[in-house]
Amino acid sequence: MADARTSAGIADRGRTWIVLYLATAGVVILLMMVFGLVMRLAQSEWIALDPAFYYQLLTVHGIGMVGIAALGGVAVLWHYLSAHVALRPAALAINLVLFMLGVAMILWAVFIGGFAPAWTFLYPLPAVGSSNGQWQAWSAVLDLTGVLLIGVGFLILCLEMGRGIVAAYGGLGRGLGWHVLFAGSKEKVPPPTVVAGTMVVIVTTLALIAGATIVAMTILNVLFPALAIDPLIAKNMIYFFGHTFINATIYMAVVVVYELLPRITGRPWKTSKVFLAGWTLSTTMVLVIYPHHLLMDFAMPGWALAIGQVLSYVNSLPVLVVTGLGALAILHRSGISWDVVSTLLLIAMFGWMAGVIPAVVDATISVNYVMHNTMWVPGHFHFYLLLGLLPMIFAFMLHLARGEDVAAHGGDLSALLYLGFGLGFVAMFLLGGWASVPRRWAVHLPEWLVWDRIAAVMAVGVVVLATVFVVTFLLRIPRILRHG
Amino acid sequence: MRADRKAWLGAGIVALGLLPPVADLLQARLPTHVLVLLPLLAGGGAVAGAALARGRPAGWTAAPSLLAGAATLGFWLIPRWIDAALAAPAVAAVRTASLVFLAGLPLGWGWAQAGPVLRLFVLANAAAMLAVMGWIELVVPARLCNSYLLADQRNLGLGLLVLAGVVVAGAALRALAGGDQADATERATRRASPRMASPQEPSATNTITAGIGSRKP
Ligand code: HEM
Ligand SMILES: [Cu+2]
Repeated sequence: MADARTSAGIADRGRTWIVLYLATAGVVILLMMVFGLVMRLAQSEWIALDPAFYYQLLTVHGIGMVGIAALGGVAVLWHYLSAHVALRPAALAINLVLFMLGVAMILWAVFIGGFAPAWTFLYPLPAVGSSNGQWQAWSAVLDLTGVLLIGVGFLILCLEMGRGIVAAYGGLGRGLGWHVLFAGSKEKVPPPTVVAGTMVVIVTTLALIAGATIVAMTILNVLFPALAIDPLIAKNMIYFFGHTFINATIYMAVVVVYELLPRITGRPWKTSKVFLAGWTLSTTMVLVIYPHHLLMDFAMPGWALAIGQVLSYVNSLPVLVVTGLGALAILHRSGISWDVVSTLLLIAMFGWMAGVIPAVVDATISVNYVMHNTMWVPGHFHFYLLLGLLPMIFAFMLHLARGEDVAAHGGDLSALLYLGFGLGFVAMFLLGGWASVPRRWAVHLPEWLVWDRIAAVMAVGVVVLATVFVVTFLLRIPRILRHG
Repeated sequence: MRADRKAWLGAGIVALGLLPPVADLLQARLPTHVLVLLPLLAGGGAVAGAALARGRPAGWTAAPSLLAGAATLGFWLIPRWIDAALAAPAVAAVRTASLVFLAGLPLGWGWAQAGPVLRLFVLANAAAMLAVMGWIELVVPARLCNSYLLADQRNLGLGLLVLAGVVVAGAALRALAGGDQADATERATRRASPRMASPQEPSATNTITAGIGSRKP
């Protein structure tokens, strides 16, 4: 019995669940985009919005997008990882149930209980807002418990992927290819997908443990205000968790580049030592650079901030370089005929790399003094999330929608339009930041409206094109499942 | 080591914790009380529980046993009951019995029955819980135990934080080195149930399917 179930699980590799994940991700992405559009329209003064409601939207948009980035990213990773490693789809099911439960709790807490401290729930804001009547204490507890549940789900998923990698390759170190990198072994060289999956498992698990700790402490603080912790330590833990978790979503989704480009061009993506070194470097660095979120905290030890600045420069580079060069090598003179999937993949690489530039600029202490908490910050992360991460997920959706056929099918115009509107939208954040427009303000000064309004128009275009991608996928679901 | 010898080993560990001079020494300070005495009592039970589980595969019991064991352990960690066990010999006796049989035994049994995912899930949660407990002990303004001084409480907090770090670091190093694969292989050979590797999946070795099977009834 167990064996029958197991081998069936390997054969279909959890395909139904993957489709369900992507469908959920697609619908939620659209909804959250509309929330984002509403925020931009309100800042533009084109619609009137109760500021309190703006902060609720901000909270839901932030946590919703981060959660869904992880859900979509993990769908990509699981789909391709399960071709190399035996994974049990039950973990996908458990995670999705916990995820839905957590989302319901968060929505209830925010829209009915009024909880709105932004997705970073920075300590001691949840308790402060409760005690001064901005929101009900129960809503803080409910929201954070929802966050905990979602974390538990992703923890189970990570452990299952980790188990699979350990069983197939003999340890996470070998999943990262250390035996090849350090001992020159040529046995069981992990393919790029396994390397990326191993990195994700390591950093996400560590992030989730720290996250669970600080969320639990914050809940206790809401319930028993006398239990006050050091806000700076709390902030460190929150950003260790938040920074690492959201970064890992890109490392999950980038697997689609490693798997699809070779299929489209007919050229393999080989695991080189440089590739392995790049991923190992990024694995360690992504864990230690989070202090770039604390550059304004003068009480932080100088050395921590120095690490935050210096390693932020270097952190993304190894993986970016090995991915970018690898992709270029595959594409160069491949005679590829572009269509929507390959164009989206290329946009994703561009968006990721280009988005890192303003991020690195902001991780410079002297710049951060000026740019911190301006629109520059949403500018850089929307750059690589909207134009880096999402195109990877959309490309994967459309690829499945075509029955995984890699012949060119056209449609690249929609991808280019998405890029155009996306760039316009992101540029307005960056320009606003350049002009010192603060982030997270419901109401803007008249001088700032020009960027807000152009951004709102651009956002409409982004939403329309994202709808085209998602609906194309949703309409094909019956066929995807039949051909499974 | 044979199973009955393991059971004796477990009993020996418990007895060590109960020896009057040892118990007095450990209970003199809060950190040793919580970080040494209680683990000795539960640990003795756990050794026996793990020995009992040998040759009796029952994967479905793993999660409930671990949960029951953790709940019992958690109960006796409540400061009010730490005080009570010091004040009343009857409570201390009940605590010893329940730590051995209701915490240690199911924990050892459940751990032996659990697959790698459940084990790591337990460790991850244990690390977060230890960190939360340690943090509370460090920041709470009042004394939690009547029987111990505030300084002891702070030391216990530090100890719990260190323990959380050790759990995370230990599990991470083991996973990097592939420790759980050795476990899976060990279980597979112990049960000597050959399983087919998946046909279209070259890297899916016996180890994997054994790892999967071991968690299923
Ligand atoms: C049409 C697409 C989108 C629009 C119109 C939009 C709009 C916005 C707006 C207006 C803000 C608040 C800026 C401020 O005043 O500080 C914001 C914040 C944010 N957005 Fe988006 N966004 C979009 C897509 C995305 C995507 C794809 C992601 C991630 C995958 C994302 C993640 C976030 C996060 C994490 C925040 C920060 C929330 C906070 O400050 O706590 N957004 N977005
Ligand atoms: Cu960061």
